[in-house]
Amino acid sequence: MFQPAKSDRSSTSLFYPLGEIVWGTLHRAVPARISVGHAFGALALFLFALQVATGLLLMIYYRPSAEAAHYSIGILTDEVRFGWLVRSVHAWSSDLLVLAAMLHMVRIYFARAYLAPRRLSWATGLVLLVVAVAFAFSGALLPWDQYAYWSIDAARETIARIPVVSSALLNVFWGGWDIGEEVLLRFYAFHVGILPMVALACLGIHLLTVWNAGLQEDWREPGDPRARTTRPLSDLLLDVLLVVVIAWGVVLSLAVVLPPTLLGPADPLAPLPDVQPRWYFLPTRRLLRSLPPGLAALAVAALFVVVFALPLVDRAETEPAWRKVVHRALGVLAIAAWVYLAARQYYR
Amino acid sequence: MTVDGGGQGSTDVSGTSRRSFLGRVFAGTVIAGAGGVIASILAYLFPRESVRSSLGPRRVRVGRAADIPAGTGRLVLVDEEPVWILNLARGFVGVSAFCTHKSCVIKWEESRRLFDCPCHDGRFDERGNVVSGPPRRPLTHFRVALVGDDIYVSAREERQV
Repeated sequence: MFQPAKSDRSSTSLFYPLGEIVWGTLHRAVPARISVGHAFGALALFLFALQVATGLLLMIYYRPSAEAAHYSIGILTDEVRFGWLVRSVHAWSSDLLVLAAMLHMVRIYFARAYLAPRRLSWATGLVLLVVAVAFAFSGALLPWDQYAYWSIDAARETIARIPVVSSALLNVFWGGWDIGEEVLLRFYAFHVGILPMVALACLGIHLLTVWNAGLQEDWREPGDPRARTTRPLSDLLLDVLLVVVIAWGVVLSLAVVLPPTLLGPADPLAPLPDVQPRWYFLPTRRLLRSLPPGLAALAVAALFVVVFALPLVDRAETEPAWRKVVHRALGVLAIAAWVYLAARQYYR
Repeated sequence: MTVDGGGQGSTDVSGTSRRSFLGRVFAGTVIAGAGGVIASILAYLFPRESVRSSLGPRRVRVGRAADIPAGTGRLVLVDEEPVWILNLARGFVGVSAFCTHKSCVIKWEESRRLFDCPCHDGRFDERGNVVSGPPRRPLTHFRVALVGDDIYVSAREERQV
């Protein structure tokens, strides 16, 4: 068992509480053995930080207006040193962030790590996933090129099919039924102002809950000698640093080899045929376009509520064998349905 | 050299264990990577001439008020266009040095208070209006202002008079 050493700093030190806090943090005991799956959360956090850093850099050259947005992205990619790279890293890490958050959520589901005292982690985590997708969605419009315009127009068409709430949704988020500079400015305000604040608040609660509950051990069977062995957090952080370095290498390679395109400026009278939504919206698009719109919207909303309330539905500390099977089957079924709907939409 | 057993404690003559060597390689990689990132960000932030905004008002400093005595003029460059800055009784005035006939660069004649075009003998007065010769349109004006002791020309806002 790892025993945290006592710090010999005295309370008269200039940085008095800080040193103690850092020391205590680095020497907190964490489970010695945790699965690789635990990396997805750290990965998502790193990618989020990367988003913030590259996003702030992009704000220096980006101009949020229908007149200048496309031009400013062109200047950024062609003239500014490493401008193309900053944009490319921002685009790639946003996709990978959504992916990491999804895989993180899948791991949490199968590990049943949403049980008390981690219920709030689950709720804020789900909000964070929605926020990540909203970030990616609003950010996709900002270059104001043909792809941005027509993919957002296709989303507008999908939303317009939903009865009752479509008008409210389009007026609030789109600034009207058609696409003009109004929607660009609204998406920009969401992307750089509203969503970051929501994300930071949720992230704070999310991390605080995780910190409070501690990491979950993988071997909890009483007889297992590996159970309950611990090591200091600093040791784990070194592993996390390794993951971060590898992730950074992957993001950088993807960003250099496959930079995002910039089509011509948005032209409302020159439709791009057959624009697919981003990959994480493929199943939703399929659902909303194949079922009657009202039913599909209800299904998506109901599914969201069920997933959100999962810690309230499934709350037994120990689950009997049959429930274990049902729990896993439901998870696999949900993933299979997601992949199936995505494939149907992609190869329609 | 020691016989390497493959363990953590194996050392060579310099006393460096494999573990600490790998640790240093890793730390060095991280530091080099971070240095590269910071250098790239600085390069990104330093503005290039081609990135300069073409929107909004912008001024160009063309000299000090003392550099142009009353009645005289000075030829300056504003965004690659030659501009005459004159110190007249009504203040500083800026007019384009491109003749409106064939765009030759005109010359300020202090004694006659006239602009002279060397190409086809076009003449303009100190307000930029045509006095004689082939030109039909007056010279383009630039807004000039004294800010402290410095003379500034508005680089974007041109107007015909």
